Amino acid sequence: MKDGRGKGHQVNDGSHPRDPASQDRLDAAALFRAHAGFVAAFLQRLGTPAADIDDAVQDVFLVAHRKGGFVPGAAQPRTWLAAIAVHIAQDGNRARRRRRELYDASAIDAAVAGAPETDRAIDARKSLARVQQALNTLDLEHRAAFVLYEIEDEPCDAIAAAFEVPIGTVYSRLHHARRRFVDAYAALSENSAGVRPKLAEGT
Amino acid sequence: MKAPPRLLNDPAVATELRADLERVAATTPSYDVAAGLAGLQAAIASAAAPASQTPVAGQEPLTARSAGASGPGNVVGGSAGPAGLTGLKAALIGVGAVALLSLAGVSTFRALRRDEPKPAAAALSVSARESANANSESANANSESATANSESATANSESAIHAKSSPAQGQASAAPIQPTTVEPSETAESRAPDVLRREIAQLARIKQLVDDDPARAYRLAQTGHREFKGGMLRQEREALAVLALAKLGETAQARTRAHDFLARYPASPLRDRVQAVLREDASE
Repeated sequence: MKDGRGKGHQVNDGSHPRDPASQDRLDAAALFRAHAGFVAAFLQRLGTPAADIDDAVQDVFLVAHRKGGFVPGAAQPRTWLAAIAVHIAQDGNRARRRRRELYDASAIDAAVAGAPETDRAIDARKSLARVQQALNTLDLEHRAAFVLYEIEDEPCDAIAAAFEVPIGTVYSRLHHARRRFVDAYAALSENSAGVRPKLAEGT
Repeated sequence: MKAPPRLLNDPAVATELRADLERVAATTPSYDVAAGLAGLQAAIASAAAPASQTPVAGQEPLTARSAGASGPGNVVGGSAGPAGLTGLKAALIGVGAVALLSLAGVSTFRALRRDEPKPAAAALSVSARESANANSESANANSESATANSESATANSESAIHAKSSPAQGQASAAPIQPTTVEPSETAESRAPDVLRREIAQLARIKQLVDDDPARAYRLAQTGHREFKGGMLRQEREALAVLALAKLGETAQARTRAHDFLARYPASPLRDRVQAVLREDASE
């Protein structure tokens, strides 16, 4: 399990006075330090172009600030921020559609920018490109659920709480997202290597 | 139905796909947290100063908490700080500040970021704050005019509440409506993401009005619900609508909407204030 889940999300580090009425809050700066990198990655995987990532990250944390910071509950800080990020990405996507701009691969390049062009970096770039292309076939809510669960390793109950949907809805979104993702990935793989991945029975 | 196994842990899934997902999960895009945080601090600080100088009646001054090594000007998390700020105040006290930040601080900071690739955090913070302060007044005026336009469009449809309005109601509608300033390089389409900023600004206006002119605050909240369907701040707007209804003496409606609010947002930071409406009503 990655940092940022489970015990990693305890926010009362003793440096903040406890507010019994509203429980422990994690303010915008603390959230930013701990989770800005995650939010940037999440926005990128949602399809936000690299040129818009900085602004989108700022918007996410401005909204978090305006909402009074994170209050511990069923949602975790990362899933709570992710739910905000989906709205921000949605607004950005609408604007780009109106401007008739298409998603480009700049986000993928940015993701590995600065890394030396080792074989490993090249493999990572190819993996990112394949995965991102498959992700782009999903609509935003399915993509968000898929990224949070499959890539970011967030638990379903935290996703459900953050997006204010029943956990069954999260399962359903994951079910559809996985099928679409695997199909899209298979199509990409067939084009490149003739390998068709399969999805486990019952998933 | 239960949670499916993660694809990258599922041996039934092709090795290539699992390997790709694993690489992606292990890859974090480069992001300059220090520069980003400096921008956030600068934007919030730029808005905090004018907001604290002109407090809204009944509103506590913005209590800022320094973040780490930030100087006194680089305050962050004012509305989020737990020290003495609870419930609705904690959640909404920074609304005015964030509205200004949205309309002035952020755009200024972003303009600086575009012009100055990766400036030092401290220098950026100061520059952004100074520039944002210089622009905050005009930005606030634009926010007001946008709100006035939006509100006037629906004033007639809220006649029942209108009848209970206070004398202060006509003041804003009598104020001159100023055209919204648009940066020359921006088009109407490129401003589309600013819907969020308009929503924030509108919420700030509702917060300002809720104590002194609850009828207008209520109408504006209703307008916001219609204008920002699927918006991010519906919860906060609805809480203010409940408070406004209670202040107007619309007890039955306030109670109904308070119950709906608590059912829909059981973990809301605004829960205590909305519950207080029910308690006050029961004690009368």
